[in-house]
Amino acid sequence: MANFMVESCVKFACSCGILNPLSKLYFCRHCLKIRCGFCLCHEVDVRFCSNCLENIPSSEARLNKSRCNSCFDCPCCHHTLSIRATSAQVARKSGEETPKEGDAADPSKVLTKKSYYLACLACRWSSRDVGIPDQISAKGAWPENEYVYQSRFQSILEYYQNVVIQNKQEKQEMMRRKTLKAHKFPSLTDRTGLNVSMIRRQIGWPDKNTPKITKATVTPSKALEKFDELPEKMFTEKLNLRNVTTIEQRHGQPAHQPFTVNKLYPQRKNLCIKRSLRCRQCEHNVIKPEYHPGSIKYRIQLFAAYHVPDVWLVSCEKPLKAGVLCQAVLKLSNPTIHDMTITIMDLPTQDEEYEMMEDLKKSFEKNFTSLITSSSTALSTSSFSRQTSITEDPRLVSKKTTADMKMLESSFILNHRDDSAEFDELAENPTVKDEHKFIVSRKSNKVSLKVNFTPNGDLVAGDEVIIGFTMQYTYINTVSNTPDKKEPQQHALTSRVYINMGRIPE
Amino acid sequence: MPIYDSVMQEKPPVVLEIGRIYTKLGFATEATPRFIIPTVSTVSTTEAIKSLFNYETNNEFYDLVVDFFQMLFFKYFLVSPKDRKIVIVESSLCPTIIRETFTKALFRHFEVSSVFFVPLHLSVLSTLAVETALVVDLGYSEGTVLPIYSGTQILKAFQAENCGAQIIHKEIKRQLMESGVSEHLLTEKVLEDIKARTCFVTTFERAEQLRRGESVQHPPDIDYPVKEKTVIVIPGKLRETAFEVLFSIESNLSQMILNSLTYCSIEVRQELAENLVVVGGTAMVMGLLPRLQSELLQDIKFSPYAEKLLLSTFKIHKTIGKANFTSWLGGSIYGGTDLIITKSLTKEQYSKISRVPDWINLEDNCAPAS
Amino acid sequence: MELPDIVYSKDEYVETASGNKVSRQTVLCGSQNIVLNGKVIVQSGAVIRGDLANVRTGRFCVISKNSVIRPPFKQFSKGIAFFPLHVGDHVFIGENAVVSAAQIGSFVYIGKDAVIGKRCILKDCCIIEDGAILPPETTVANYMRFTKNGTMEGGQGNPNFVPPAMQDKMVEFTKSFYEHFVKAG
Repeated sequence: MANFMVESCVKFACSCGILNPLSKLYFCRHCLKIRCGFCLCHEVDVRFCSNCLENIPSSEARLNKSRCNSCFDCPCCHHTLSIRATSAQVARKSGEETPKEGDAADPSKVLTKKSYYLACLACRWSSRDVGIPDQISAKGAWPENEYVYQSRFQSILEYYQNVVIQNKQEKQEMMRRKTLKAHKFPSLTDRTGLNVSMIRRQIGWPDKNTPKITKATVTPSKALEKFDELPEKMFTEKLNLRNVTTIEQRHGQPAHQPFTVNKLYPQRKNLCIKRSLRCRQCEHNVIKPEYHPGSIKYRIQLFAAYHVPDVWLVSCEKPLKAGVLCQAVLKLSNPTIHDMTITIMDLPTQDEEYEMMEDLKKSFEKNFTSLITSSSTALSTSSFSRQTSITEDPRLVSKKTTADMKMLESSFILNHRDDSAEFDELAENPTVKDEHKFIVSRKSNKVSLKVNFTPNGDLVAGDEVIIGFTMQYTYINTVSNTPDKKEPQQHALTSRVYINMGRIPE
Repeated sequence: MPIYDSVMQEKPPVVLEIGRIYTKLGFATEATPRFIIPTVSTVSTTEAIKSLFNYETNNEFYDLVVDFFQMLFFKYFLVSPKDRKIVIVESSLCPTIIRETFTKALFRHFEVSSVFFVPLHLSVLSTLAVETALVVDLGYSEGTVLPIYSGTQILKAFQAENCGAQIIHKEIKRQLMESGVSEHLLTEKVLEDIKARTCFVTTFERAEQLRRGESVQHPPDIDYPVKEKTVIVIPGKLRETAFEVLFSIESNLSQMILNSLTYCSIEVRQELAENLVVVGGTAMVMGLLPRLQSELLQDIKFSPYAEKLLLSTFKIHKTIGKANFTSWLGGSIYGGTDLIITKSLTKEQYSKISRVPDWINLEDNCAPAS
Repeated sequence: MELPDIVYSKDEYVETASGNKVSRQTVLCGSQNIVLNGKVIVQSGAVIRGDLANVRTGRFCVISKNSVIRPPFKQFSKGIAFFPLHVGDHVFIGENAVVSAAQIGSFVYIGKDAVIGKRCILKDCCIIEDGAILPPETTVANYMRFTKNGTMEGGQGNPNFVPPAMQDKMVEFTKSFYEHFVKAG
């Protein structure tokens, strides 16, 4: 199997037209289509701290500005800080707690008091550098830098909130007065003097018309005429670069952006997330990770690699020459537990590709209308948001093939995956009688094929040779989304495959 | 109001100010941005890091923007973008392609519920709680000036010149190369670092002396390690004079402000001159404000401004928080009010017209025919 | 491309009953403290310091050429103490890597020339890039990728950085590595 860290030369076209290796693709079981990270809807699923791996619920995350309560980042290099413990010897006073285990060897009158400080093991910064006193508990109440403008900002914000609401009320008042005049018929309740506010008062409810918000005031900022001139030492004293923060360090503390390093404070660590991915067309989850931050499992994992036959380039005749027939060996494997019939076909032409894009767009719209009609009976506010069908447009495949591939004359069977075969050392390969000429070998669920292709005549040295084909495969859907048909359905699915065979040598 | 409050707490709107080099991001009603990050996008297909505005085709730009927003939501905000309200602080003269691409990505790819564009210069005023000011925004590629009177932008007095970080970086590079430093060491990152850590705006008196060609005792030189084992010397002269390009003939900050004032009607000039605000990353350098004031007072004495403008005082506001996120802060205030509901472009509206209504478009800007 | 066969000569490697293939040109100190759980490949030049503390690896691990596996230590006021190093199943350790982690989960990929500082904890399904230097006591969570620039990227469900099917990928990779690691002749 290829090393997954190296960029794969085999790319599959997603239904939206973007090329990706199979490992980055997903398969929506309900639409029976390949999806990629671009055409799926990403959602934040679980928030956790990547250092202490603690799960943090969304309400708490919001409260803490999505930062961890106990972990800190170094203000210098943004690496995680470690909590160090030191012990200082203090004369024990009567009535204090008994010494801890570590001090058992020394039961004398001296008590070692543990205190904690933060240290960065990457850049050697420590909380003592900036004069933060050591804390008594490991979780310590590390001092946070007060933001001096907080109250000023709050008062300005409240002021503007009031101004806007006031404007709105005035406007409504205006409208009300206007519309009242416009009435053709006088309102009965007006005549009888039985208006809403009166009824409310009789029932004992508070008046609906809340008293007008008193005119909010805020002291506007005063422009200054005098500024602090540059300090004289600026021109004479030598500047120590070590004491001046870098821009990154300043931006690490957006509120303060200190100029000197002695004002760098430990920053609470930003949280990490797990994402779940959702198909935009049918709204089903494609990826849903397990809730627990320490778990690597998925609750839903519809990777394309579990459903679509993978293709590898085993070997290719070298050197590649423009206009000369070449041979290559491909390997296909079937990840499913059903046999597949594979047909290799030509790629769609550009017109056909446009057609596919149109179809895709239509299928989206159809989906939307069906969604709306189904929910229109119980017209809830939530279904409203779904009515607007603006989504990502599908696009043409960006890569163009630069070689002409000779299609295989017939389709062939790809055996199903058999996990037990791996342990069965004597497993005989079932020999297929009418084996096609182009099949080199078979091994359990894998088939090696010979393919012939001719790089385009106009290629020059250094150009990439890319072959492409449409692979049609039979897919047995074990979970049907229509409840009336229980038995598995067979589908013929296609995916477009592009293989980079290498470059034309110099 | 109570419903509105709970909605705000449940899903606070996201406020973005996407600058040329740095992006300021956070949630509405918060007093500081959560993060200030470089405006770079990791291309998901190749995992290469690319500047967001460094694109060739519109499609490429769209992909970069999608990857960029992806990073913002899933690495920094940690909230699902779906059905969220977005506030974007932007200059009212922002190129249409940028605005359209942002909106398209947000609505089509991320399915946000609404996007609210806040004019950058206007938003600065709200952080000061004033109605009238002349806003100077010093960004990376350019510096812009826009006077605002009683909450109305005087667009005809808009001025833009390359008074930004870019020209300063260029100047640092020029001076260092003159002193014999090889070019390949001076990457944009190094230049920015030199600027931010060692340079400052000198006083008016010393600048005058320098202009006259008199010799001045420059501040001490600094040894600056570039790579491991390579140390370059940053001359004191460079430290003092790098920012002089902002007051040179080609691009002059004070003249830009005065020009803008001459385009304003005579009644408002005095009030604007006494309400200057300087924001943007470049505005954070030490010594800029006193120098700007003295320059203004100097330039006003000479032609053509002496005849046109009868001003004698210039006053500058002190921003709340740091100058590089002041306009973001304005967005945070706007996003915290009811305006986010009434003034936003909603998904429904966008799906009907498929573009952003803009003041510059006559279709949106004409009174409806009756 | 399919992994090419790596051919070794009969004299160079010893194959144990449990299928471990260990080069003769390795330094295995304190071999009684080293447990290789089967089908593990230890290539030439690798150093495993079992003399310091126990080292245990799971099945299908690959310890590449010239890598160093060294149990971590911690300094106390009364001296230093070494801790055992546990490695999970299907772990690949690249060439010239130096590993002093306290714990390495399963399905972990450590690139070549990487340095894992002492007492690091690598959770399952994480990737350390080639040449990355992990400072001591760092925790790399599941599905995280520690980059050469010292940043942590990825996360479960993120289609980039770490393959979402990392577990399958590593199983596939280490198994086929073992299959393609063949004796000459």
